[in-house]
Amino acid sequence: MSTQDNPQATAALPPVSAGKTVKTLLGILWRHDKGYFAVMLLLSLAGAAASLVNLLLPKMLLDGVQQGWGAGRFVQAGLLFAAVKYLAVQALAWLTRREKQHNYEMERLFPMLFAEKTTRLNYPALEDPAVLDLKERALFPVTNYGALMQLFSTVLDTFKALLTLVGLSAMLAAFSWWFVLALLILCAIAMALSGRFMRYMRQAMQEMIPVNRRYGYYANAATQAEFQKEFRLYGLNTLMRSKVSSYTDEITTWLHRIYVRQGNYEALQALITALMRFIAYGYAAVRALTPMWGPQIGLGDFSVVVLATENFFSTFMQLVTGIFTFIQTVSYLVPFCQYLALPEAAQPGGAQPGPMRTLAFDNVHFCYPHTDRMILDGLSFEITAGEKISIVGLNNAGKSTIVKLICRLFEPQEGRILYNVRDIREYDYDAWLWQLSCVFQDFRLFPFTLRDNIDTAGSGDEARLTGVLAETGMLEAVQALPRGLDTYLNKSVWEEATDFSGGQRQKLAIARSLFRPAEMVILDEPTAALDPLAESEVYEHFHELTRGRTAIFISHRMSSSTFCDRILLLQDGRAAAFDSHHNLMRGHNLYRRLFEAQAQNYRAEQTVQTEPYVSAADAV
Amino acid sequence: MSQTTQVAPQRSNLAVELLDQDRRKAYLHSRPRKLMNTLARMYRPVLKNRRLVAASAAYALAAGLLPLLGVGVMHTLAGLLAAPGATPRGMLLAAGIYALGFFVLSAASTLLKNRNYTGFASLRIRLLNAALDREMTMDYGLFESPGFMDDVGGWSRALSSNNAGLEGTYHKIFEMGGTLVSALGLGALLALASPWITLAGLAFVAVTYAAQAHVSRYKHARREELSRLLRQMDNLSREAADFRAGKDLRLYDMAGRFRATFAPLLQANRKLYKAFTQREVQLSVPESLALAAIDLAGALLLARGYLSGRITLAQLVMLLTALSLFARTMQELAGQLAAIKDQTRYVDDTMDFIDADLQSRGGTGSVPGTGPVEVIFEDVSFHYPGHDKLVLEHLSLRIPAGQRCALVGVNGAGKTTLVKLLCGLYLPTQGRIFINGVDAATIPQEQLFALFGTVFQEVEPLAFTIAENVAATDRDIDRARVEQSLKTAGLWDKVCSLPRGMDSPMLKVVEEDGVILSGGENQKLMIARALYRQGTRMMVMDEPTAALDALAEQKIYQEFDSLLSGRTALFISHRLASTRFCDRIVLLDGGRITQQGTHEELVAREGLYRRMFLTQGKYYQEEQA
Repeated sequence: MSTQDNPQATAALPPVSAGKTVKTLLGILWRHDKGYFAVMLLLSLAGAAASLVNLLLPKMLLDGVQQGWGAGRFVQAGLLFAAVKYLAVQALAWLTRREKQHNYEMERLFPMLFAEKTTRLNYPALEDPAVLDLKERALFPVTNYGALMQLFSTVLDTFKALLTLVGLSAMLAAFSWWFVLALLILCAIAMALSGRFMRYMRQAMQEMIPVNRRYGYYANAATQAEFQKEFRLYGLNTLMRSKVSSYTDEITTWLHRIYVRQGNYEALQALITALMRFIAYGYAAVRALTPMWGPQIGLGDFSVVVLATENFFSTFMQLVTGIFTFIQTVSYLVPFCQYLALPEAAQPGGAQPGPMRTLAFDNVHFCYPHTDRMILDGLSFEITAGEKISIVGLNNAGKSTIVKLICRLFEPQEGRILYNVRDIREYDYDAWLWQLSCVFQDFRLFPFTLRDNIDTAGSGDEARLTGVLAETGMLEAVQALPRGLDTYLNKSVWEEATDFSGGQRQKLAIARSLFRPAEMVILDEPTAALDPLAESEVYEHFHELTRGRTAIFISHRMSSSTFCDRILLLQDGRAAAFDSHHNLMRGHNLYRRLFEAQAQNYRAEQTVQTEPYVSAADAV
Repeated sequence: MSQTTQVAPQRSNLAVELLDQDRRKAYLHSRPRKLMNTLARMYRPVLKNRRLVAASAAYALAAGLLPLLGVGVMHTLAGLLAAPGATPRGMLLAAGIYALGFFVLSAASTLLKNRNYTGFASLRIRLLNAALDREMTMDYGLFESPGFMDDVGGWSRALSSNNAGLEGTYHKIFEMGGTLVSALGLGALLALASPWITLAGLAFVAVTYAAQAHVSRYKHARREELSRLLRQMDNLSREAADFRAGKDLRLYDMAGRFRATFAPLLQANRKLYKAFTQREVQLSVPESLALAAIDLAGALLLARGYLSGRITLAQLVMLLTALSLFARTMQELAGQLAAIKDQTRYVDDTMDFIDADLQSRGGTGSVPGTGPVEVIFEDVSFHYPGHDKLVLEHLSLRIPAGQRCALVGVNGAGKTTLVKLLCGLYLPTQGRIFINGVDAATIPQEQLFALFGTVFQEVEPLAFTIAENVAATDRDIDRARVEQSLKTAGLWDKVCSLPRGMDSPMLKVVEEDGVILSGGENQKLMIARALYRQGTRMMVMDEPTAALDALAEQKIYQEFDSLLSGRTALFISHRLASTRFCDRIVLLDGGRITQQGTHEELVAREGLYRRMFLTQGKYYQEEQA
């Protein structure tokens, strides 16, 4: 198994320290929910107060007994104590629930902030496997361990423990500083022991994170909608379960090892706790019996020393565990903050694009980051305003890459792309994108209403909306919906949503691109899912659809190039030809081969009609 | 085996039935919800495990006696303090004995607890596997029903965690053993002084339990609402953070719209939790009062006992210690009981999910004969569960055994729907589908699915090796067959170029150097999987070449014969040229079959098919003219 990171790929990820992680996360919390901090502070105070109050009842009663109180005093004291206790417990209960409420809200907020960050990332990051990996590593501890919420509750618990310790120390120091010192020495030993164990835990957890993530992938995939057909039809449930089982077995074995170790560690801690109790009980009893170790104390104080020492020690251990958990949780959350620190799109250039005259690729070289295959290797071509061109090439020839470069989602390593003889990078980014209407090959519609999906800028131009839907042949289907344009897409988010077929979705994507009054229309495989009539509709109305705008058309359906002015034949990263369909069909080239491969199926009609079925092998 | 037509048994179509909330409740959750029943069910496997039983008992004893030991030492020490002639040495001796006892009990309890922790984890994983299997094999239509999933989908929360849900309940009960022993011991001791103190403790537990059970019932009643909100927020943030949506998101500037859509969901989530919190806060008042009452009752009754001389000073010291421990123990006990009650509600839902029969299809039907199958649609109508619009209307169709049939039609005509019905993913709303004369509704799901080799549009591979993806298993893979399938599908060269060949892992999940294939290559991989599958008697392909370039597409057509190797075939394509390799073409329009025949027949006839073919073909004709 390879656990080596790709050094090239990881070099791009911003380094984030533990300190920065804490600062970032608490900073976000502070910006979004200042009240949370107030609640945490009050809760710590209330928690500390409630545990101190409990020590006082036995002391009060025992002191009362020794001072010979009457029944009336006892009733008074009992009522007073009960009232104080009620108030402390009630405040604690109220604050605990308030804290939970804040916690729930923040738990939902953070994934959304994460999603929003994704929308602002530099696009190339989205195609970088290292960033995809970082995204998964970042989200895993948050969704599977609840690490963010654990971080906040650890801060709270640690602070509460600290406050309690201060109170208890004050109580105990009143009896003897030496005693407190002895306790602290014991605490130091316990802490050293605990530190060793926590380090072991941290290491073990880190080792298990990848295994847990793999387990999470399979367990999650098993419940994902996109695979459900395959699971059923191919009986993949057995294979999936076998994968899940192999990881749960591994995790359980590991967990058992950890728990055995934890048992041993806790048993050892029990030894120290027993020693502490021996000291506490022995010391308090001797102090109560004789003045040999200091002024003799009463029964009330005897019980205070015993109970406070027990509390001191257990609170101290909570503090230690809290601090170690905090450190460990922070280390889980480093990838999350690394992700939040990824660079965001900062596109330079402020020029306004203006109406199109020419678009030119000038000796463009491009390969995707962290790969060595040159996708474009000196590509040059120029198109003029109003021209319709088609880009043709084999699978993986780089057709879609050209679209991404025009959209400035990536930058060429060498060469320039010129719009009106000016490098497209010099234009204002938003204004530049506004010049482009694209249907990407792997287009996405979004979980909003149809209206918001098409009128993406919210212009509210109803006539235009109806217009583009009519042009793409979707008007009838949309009007047939009970809520028409206000129908939501994506059933996984909205129950009342409508699911369109693949072809209909493609039509909607075309409608979306047409709605935008851009200078250039770029259609990448826009008819792959369309039926022949709808496809032809797109072809026939191509000129109207594009309204005289410049258009770039990419398709595996060779027929599509016949209505384009010129065809850019892409081969080995260069323009092997850039000519009209008519001229290209006269030479011997890849274009003609591709065209013939499909055309013969339609042209052989005459022969097929007179002969019975011809098998595939014979026909070709 | 007989060729006679079997009548479908009266099985309901669950995907439709269970849309209705009341019927869903009746079908899934009709079992009486008694805590004891749930616990009995949970503990059946535990009782078979002697080690776990013995450990639980031993832990309860060790952990339960710890506080009693503390009470005992206070009595001893206070007694010694009051006794004449007590020495510091005696005091230290008593403290030492106590410390030793404390160490033994406390070490024993922690060892018992930690060493048996994963015993309970294994019980959870068993159910987790059952639930995962249920999820992947229940009616496909159920999976698509949001209401159903919001109802039972919570199983993952009940089965995914070590410290909540099923396993959390096991651990809680394990710990509660100790709490109960302490409660019993301390309660009995205090009852000797005054039964009212013990009763106050019990009252506190009862009040807290009732209050928390009320909140938990309220939460459980609104779980579908909560599930829905969580699902919406999860899926929305997943969509926004989906790298594959990044291009359109940027070009069409959708980030703001996502933010605007999140806001009301966050608001609704806040409101729902506020409703929970409000109830908890209100009910915390009686809880806190009852807790203070234990102390009040204890203080007053013990003081009275001492003043009246019934209790000695040493006993008072002991009883006061017992009182403070008792209050804490009662708090623990109430918390444990409430948590158990709360979590078992979700365990119950999960058991319901695992127990329920969630396959509509079933019976004793089996498909007779070997070799290619004959398929008949008899007056089939279909609308998707929860929608009124009929996608198929009184459709009848016969595909003879061994025929290659092409299914064509305009977008949204229902081609993919027809394929899903044929494969058995949905049941017809009306009418029947026969396979070799047997009503498909009577054929058990797995048997039915096994008849088909299917290739759908837009499929993504899973993080298995290439060979596992092709063979759909990790056991006894026929490697020669995998190779042959990959060759036929046109992916073998690519696979050979990988350092580990067909054993290369796919995606980057399991190994960082995993293979990521392009869209066209994925499609070829899926074709290879359909080819590999042994015993299939029909091939069903939905646009298998949509992502391929013209040459790759042509190659697939050339291999068509070996692809099908005598199986019946149903083939959807918008590229009508490909339909020419089929024996018969069926045109779906407006939910019915409106035209059928050979390509030649249909092209010769006026009609939609001819129009479509000529339309598509005309772009290729001009060079001939």
